[in-house]
Amino acid sequence: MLLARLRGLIRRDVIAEEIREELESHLRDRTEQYEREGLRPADAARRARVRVGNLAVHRDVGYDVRGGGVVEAILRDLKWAWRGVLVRGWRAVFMVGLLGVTLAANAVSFSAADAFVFRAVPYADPGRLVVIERTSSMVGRNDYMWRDHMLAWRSQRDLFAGIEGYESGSYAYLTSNGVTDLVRGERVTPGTFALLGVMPEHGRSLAEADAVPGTPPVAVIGHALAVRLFGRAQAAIGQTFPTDEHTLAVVGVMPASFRFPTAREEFWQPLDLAHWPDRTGLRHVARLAAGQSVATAAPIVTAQLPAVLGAEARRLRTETMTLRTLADFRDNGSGTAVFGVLLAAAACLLLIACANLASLELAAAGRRMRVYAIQTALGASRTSLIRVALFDATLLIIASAGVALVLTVWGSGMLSDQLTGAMRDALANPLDVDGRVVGFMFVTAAATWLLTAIPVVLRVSRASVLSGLRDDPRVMPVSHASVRIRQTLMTGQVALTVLLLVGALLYIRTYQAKVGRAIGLDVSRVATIGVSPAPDAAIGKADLEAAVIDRLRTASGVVAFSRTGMLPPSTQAGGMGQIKINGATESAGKVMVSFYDVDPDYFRTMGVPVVRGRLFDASSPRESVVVDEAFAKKYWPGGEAVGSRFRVGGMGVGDVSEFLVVGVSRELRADRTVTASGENVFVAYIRMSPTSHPLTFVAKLDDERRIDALTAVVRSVTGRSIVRVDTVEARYAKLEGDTRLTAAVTAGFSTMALLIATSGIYAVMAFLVAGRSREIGIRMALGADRSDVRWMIFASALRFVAAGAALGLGAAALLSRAITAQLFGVSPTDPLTYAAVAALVVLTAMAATWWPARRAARVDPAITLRSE
Amino acid sequence: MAARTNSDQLHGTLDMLVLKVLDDGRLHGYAIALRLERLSGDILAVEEGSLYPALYRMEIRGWLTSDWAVTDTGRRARFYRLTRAGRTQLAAETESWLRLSSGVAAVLRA
Repeated sequence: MLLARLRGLIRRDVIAEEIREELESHLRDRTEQYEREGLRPADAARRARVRVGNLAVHRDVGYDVRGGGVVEAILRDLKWAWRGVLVRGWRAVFMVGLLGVTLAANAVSFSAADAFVFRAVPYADPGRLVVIERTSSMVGRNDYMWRDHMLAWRSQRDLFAGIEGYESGSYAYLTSNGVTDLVRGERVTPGTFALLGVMPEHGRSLAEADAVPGTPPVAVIGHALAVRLFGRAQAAIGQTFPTDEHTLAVVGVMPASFRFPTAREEFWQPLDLAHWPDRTGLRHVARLAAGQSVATAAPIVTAQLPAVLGAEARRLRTETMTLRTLADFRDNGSGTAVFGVLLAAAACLLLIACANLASLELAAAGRRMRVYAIQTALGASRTSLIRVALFDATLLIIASAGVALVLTVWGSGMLSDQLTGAMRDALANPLDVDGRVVGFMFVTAAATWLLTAIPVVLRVSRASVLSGLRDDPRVMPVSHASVRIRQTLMTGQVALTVLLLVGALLYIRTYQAKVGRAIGLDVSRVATIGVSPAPDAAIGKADLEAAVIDRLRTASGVVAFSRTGMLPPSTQAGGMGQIKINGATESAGKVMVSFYDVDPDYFRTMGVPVVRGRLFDASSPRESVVVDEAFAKKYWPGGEAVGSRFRVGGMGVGDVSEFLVVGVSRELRADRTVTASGENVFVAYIRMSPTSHPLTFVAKLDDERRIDALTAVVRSVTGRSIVRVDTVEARYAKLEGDTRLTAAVTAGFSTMALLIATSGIYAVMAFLVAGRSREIGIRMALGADRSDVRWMIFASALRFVAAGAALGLGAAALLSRAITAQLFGVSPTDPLTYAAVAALVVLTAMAATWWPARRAARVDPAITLRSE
Repeated sequence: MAARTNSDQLHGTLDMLVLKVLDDGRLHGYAIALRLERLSGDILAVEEGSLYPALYRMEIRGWLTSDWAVTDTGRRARFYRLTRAGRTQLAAETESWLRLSSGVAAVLRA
């Protein structure tokens, strides 16, 4: 039956011919029967024709039933719909653009959420991949496990089908365009690929024999690395490449989608579990045995812990051990939160766009009522009118989806480039436009189609010949119901816009608070320089360092520079312990102290002012430190810090474990803004040991634009070594990559929302003013002056804008509780934020109403009333 | 052909009658018309203008299938056959028709 219809769609001539043949055969049969009954052939033929009737009519009726008729009707309606699109002119362009952008915003958000959250790990049956997560007050949550424990868990065959370990491996050096870069490798136990359920696309996986000491070193490499090194993935097998440790022979190439343990590692070497040092943790991943789930296995793991861990169980009793899926452990809710917010924001934007378009379309349908009436009077069926309206919406949506697809490809590429540090590493899947994203776009486009087409279809289905033709064509028909619907749609748009703006502003203020708080200093124009010597470097670290320092000293534009143990915001040695001052225990619990291992010039370079005491210099004793104000205030409330000695538990920096305070610097918040209010992490600066050559520097420039010149200067003496130059500000900002992303995207979305809502307010007000011109004319004839009229228009806009703003602020107050955990330094119901958004929206709405109000005030009563 | 039944009265029952005729096996359009006339003792005359649209409609609804074959007289013709759905439909329509006609008969006898 469907086949018959399809055939009808494609080959209408064939159907018409079939029907004709069938009818003629019928006619011949009838004629022959009459002949058999005794009529002469001519009479029989005549009588049969009379009996059968007009063949052409039968054929047309049959054709209508069998499908051809419908096809023709559909083609005709499509033609009408196309004309409907053309008639819109600039409005069609606006609609397609608006929908295209909002659909793309949704698709890009979805592609990111999909890559990060929904398709959490690209491994076989990922729900069964688990880790035994350890949580301790000292080191937080981690998945480190000793070898013996791993082997013990491996023997629990009823619980785990397998458990494999991994640890960071060596680095490979890739030189392109004269610049060398690092590629990270990972050491994995050979069973890892099988456990994850992903095997090489070329060559073989790692084997236990590869891990045996003394065998030639081999590696399985990623698809992208294979292409970069050898041109083609297939060509990689059997080739070698150098790393900082060995030259590795390639035995296999993993598919492009494979990432493990993060997106950064590009080759995998065998890890020899048998020779892994005792009591040294390595990370692990396990696969649950058949029939087990996290829910069933978790209590067994807890029950088995003492038996598996043996004597260690007692030492580890301060830790909690939980069985979690790999995806859950990796994400820990952060990706879910970020992309949940982005998807919600994108959905909000789409709803605003839908409301806006429905409103526009409703107005257009209103204007076309007369056309509908004429078409109905001329015999167009209601079905046909509705079909035209639906086709019309479909054509617009298809065009929008096409625009959206292009924008999505572009947008997800841009998003991929924008991802920083931890987020890029956490990306378990390539961020691209795949079938799932296209499917999602199809669903959202279909939803949009429904939302924008329904009001119009309802309107068209009520089209009446009488009212359509009766109404005066010179006065736009404004039905009260349609005005009410459009005002409701407008109120909804304003409310959603307010909601988005509040969210965006909260994230922007969070980002500012985090970045500002983390630094607490003027680090503008401070560059960071990191040099990693090439494996085959001819000169030693000390000479390399001397050469770089020599260059920095003479380079133009470098105001000050210093060596530093680690590049900010990383600190050298974060130690925890009880604070002992001059031999007496001062802190009840453990306190964390972050040491910055620096040269004396660090303070000038980084703009750290010393507020009491002095700096250490080259002649100061090795134990000299500068502590920050927060530290000093807490433990030397009387201001007697300078000259005191203190210890942090048993922690030492190099050979020093008792420190002498020589100065106090301006308070510096710790590098990790999420740490409990910054109160429990203190900062101390210690002079760098003369024997240490970290090859990391900070340099204050007189102009940030000199950074490229600086890079070139450093590279001129470092040969094939890897040189990374960045700014301190950028490095701090990377810490807050997800906040920045959320802030930037919600800001973008809400700006778009504001623009759409503004255009919507303008359209509704212009429409109302046009519809009320007669009323305005009468009012003015009766003595209302222009400012009264202008105010009347403003007031009518203000009514629904204020209602929408109130609704939006209420919704924001309710919904922002859900993002409290992501906010910092700003309350989810911050009054200033809410007031600013309300003011912005109302002012923008008034600006949008200004032109329609002016036009209303220009109404000439004489002209308007004459047209009656 | 004297007392032919008005085609209006046939409307609605035509589908049922066609289904009934096809219950015995496949037939082409003309044979269906002929069979209906014969079976009804020439009381029912099927108009071609109604028969073919009815056949196409029933085919689209899935009650019939059709294919081209050669007749006894060696001519190409389109043969119609009942589907399972058609058989179910025939049973349902027969049942409701019998109920209706017995009701009508009861009223007329009263």
